[in-house]
Amino acid sequence: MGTTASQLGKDLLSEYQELTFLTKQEILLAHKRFTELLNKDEKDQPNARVSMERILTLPELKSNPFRRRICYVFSTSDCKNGSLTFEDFLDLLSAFSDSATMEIKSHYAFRIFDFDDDGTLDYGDLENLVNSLTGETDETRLTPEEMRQLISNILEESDIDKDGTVNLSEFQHVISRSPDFVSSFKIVL
Amino acid sequence: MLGAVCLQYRDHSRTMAYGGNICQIDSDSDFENMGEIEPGHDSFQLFEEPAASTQRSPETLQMDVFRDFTGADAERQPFSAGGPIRGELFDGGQPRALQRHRWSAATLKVLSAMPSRAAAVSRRHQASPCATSRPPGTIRSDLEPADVEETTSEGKQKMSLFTANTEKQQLVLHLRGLPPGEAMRRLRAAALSLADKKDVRRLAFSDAAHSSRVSRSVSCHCRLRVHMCRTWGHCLSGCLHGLTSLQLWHSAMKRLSGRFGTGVLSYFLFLRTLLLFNLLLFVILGLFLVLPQAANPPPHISHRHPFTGLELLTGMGYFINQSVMFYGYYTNGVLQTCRPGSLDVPGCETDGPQYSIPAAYFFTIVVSFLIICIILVYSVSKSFGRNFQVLASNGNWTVKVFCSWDFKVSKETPVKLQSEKISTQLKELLSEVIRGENEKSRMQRLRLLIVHLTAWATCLGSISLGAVVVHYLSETAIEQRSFKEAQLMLLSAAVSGLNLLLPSFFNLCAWVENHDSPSVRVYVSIFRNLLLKVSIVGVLCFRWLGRIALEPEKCGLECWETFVGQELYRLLLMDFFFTLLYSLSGEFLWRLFSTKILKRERMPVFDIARNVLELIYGQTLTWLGMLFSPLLPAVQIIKLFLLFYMKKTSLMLNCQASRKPWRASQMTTVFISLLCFPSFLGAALSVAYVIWKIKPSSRCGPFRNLTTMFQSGMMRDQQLENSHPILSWLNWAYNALLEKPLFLFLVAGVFLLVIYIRTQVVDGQIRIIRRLEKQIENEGKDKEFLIANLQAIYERSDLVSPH
Repeated sequence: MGTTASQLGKDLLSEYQELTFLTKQEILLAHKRFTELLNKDEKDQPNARVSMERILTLPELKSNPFRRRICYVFSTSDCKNGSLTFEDFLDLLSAFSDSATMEIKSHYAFRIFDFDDDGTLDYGDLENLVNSLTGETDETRLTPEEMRQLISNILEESDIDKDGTVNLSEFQHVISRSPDFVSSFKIVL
Repeated sequence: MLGAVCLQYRDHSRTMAYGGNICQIDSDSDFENMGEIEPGHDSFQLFEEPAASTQRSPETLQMDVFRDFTGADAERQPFSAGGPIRGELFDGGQPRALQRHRWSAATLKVLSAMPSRAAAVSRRHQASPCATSRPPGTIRSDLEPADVEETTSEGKQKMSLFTANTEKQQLVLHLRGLPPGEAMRRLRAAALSLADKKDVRRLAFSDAAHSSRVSRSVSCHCRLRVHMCRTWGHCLSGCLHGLTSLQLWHSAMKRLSGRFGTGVLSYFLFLRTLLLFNLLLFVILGLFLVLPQAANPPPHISHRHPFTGLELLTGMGYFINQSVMFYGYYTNGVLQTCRPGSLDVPGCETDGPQYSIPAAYFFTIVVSFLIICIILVYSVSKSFGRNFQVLASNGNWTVKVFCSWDFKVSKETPVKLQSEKISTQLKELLSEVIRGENEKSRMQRLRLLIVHLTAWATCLGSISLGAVVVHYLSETAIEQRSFKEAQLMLLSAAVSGLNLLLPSFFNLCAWVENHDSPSVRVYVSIFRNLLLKVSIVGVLCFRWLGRIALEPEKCGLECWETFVGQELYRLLLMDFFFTLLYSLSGEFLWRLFSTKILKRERMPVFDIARNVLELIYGQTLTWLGMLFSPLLPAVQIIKLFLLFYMKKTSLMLNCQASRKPWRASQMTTVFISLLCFPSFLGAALSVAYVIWKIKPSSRCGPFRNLTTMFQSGMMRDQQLENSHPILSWLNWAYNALLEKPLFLFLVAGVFLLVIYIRTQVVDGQIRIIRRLEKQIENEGKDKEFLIANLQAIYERSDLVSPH
């Protein structure tokens, strides 16, 4: 721990502490895990970018069905290839941390579930979401009829303005009713 | 007509592009809008260039327009402009979907720039070159925004950056108007990337730094104060960080939740909470009661017993008379503390502060119960407020889909299990809805009723049988008047054995009954277990308070309080040993049996409800026993500590994650309210009864020679009252307020009034919410109507204008 603390400057560390929901130990641990992912020559670069494939080798993300969407959402790369810098990684951990607010979590959850990035959850997004939840095998996937029934139930409950899609406000409104969301939307290193 | 329209549009050179999702819902679309417009056509730009970086560029998005078109059924109404639009939109009674209509590219641009959508679109930019190629799209995420980015003109990219910058500027302005602490909190909670947040912070707080430079020359006194405030803030935040990092068992719990999910984690969190409660009780009792008495041992002790190991189990012998463990050790006198006199006069001055053990005993117990009561009521109300929302009836499907994925689970097998669990649950519920209500025949319903009744009768019968057995054992022990170790342990062993066997029997009954809904099953099981524990504790309380306490001489007891304390100590120990036995042998053997003999992959599942009720039972005994044995919380602390490691090991080795869904927050609320209402309330009432009504034994303990323990609090010892004026104040308060019924009526009246007002407020809020929902629905309809009409006008003008 001592060597990583010296690699991450004190000003930078306190700035990260102020701007994210992470504690000092969590930031240092994140730095340690992130530098493990870097190549030797990348370690010297200040804002090294790690490709999505390497990020997905982390055990916390490896089996998660939403791992690719998570990388895309938090990535600041122009290519939108899901690569993350250390600051993107901290953003990720901050949104998934214990002390993050409900608003932040629901905002990022919405972006993760919005598979086509159009700002709303329409039929296709919801279908993708349910398929990700139920897994890959044929016996766990829902039949088209079940899928239609499920999505129409969801839209009936959560689509307040009846436009056939769930936008961010509607999503946050319906999420705020569920106390399980905050406790389940957590990843800890 | 339709065919003609199709031909006309096919002539255009460019194929049209629409949102890819429109393909999916087209079977019952009742309005089609097939407009092909040049992408650069600006006549219909009602809004400026949308700021979203992921807007659609018409030429790159793929859309199977002609597939839908050829698949059109005859019911589709042809395109028509003007008046009939309204009729087409609002007939049929189906929910109108904005994306069911075929919008033109310009309309799509406008739609995607709507504030409700733009708020949720990615604004994360960083000027880094694209080194690698894009990964292949998964499932239906073919609409990679990267496509848009690369082929979009420079202007659009600049425009999106510009808008992102204006938003940042707005945030900066907003933050400047706030006090610094609040501003930092807002910034932290903003959904921006870390780089953007750093920019905003620099811009927002650089001005503050500048202004502080100006005022720096004003006074160095202010500067010193600011500096002190800053260091104090750093100290405080450092302390808080230190406290949170002292989280007990943090890494172990993380591993458990990674493998088993949030349900099992809630059991361990509950265990930790109980540990903290007991720690608090131990500190209070230890500081005010045990330490003073231990520092000043009573003058004469009869029957000096040597210490043997067996006494740890039975609590007899050494423990009765020679340790602070039990009630009997405590004196009923006043401890005189010494004030250091002058050097040449040895011994104590008589006017040092006095410490009355009886008063201390009474007040410590009462105060600790009060503190626990306040903490419990506070956590129950907070839990209820969080978990039982006002409109909780809606949102079942949404919650199941959006909130059911537990992101903490990280290993592959539990992830697969979780997917299976969610899939099974969804399929079950959907099949009910699709098939309609389960039409059971009369015979089936009668059969179900008979099964339920039989199961309930068996369970209630077994509970009463257990209570009768305990009562019989207790009565024979009292009548025989012999208190040999073996017989005493028999009672505790019988109680713990019943607590172990009967819940498994209840599980068997529940398996036979085969309830439809898993939550009903959990609640039934909790109720049965609770009934068992309540009846057993009730029988034991009758034994102690109704038989032993009333006639201690008949039972041959000198000091009945100590005896009751010992019984509770033995019960706790036996409980622990039987749990150890169950975990080591029961779960282990069941796993061996299941895998080797039955050759199934299934390992036993951790029964959360049963284990939490065991914890609550143990805590009830501790609270009951606090009066008779002040060190009992310490015993409970050790027991809980060992229990944690035992359960964790057993879980890791023998159990697997459950396939049934478990609503963690609702269950936690149920458990903590069970801890508060039957458990704590029962213990507090019993202790209150003992203090108020029962005569303490006359030969031991701090309350000998008093009619009731309560009297010690009302001691009118003049000397004591002089040295502790608070006692006389309490006396006055009791006489003036609590003995007069008018005061109690007033307090009750005020509480009822407050409750009534709050219910009315909640009702009003529900009505307002319903009205707002209706209003939002109307706004949505208006929006759709406007866009459709504008689209129609645009189409018409485009058709008419020559090209």
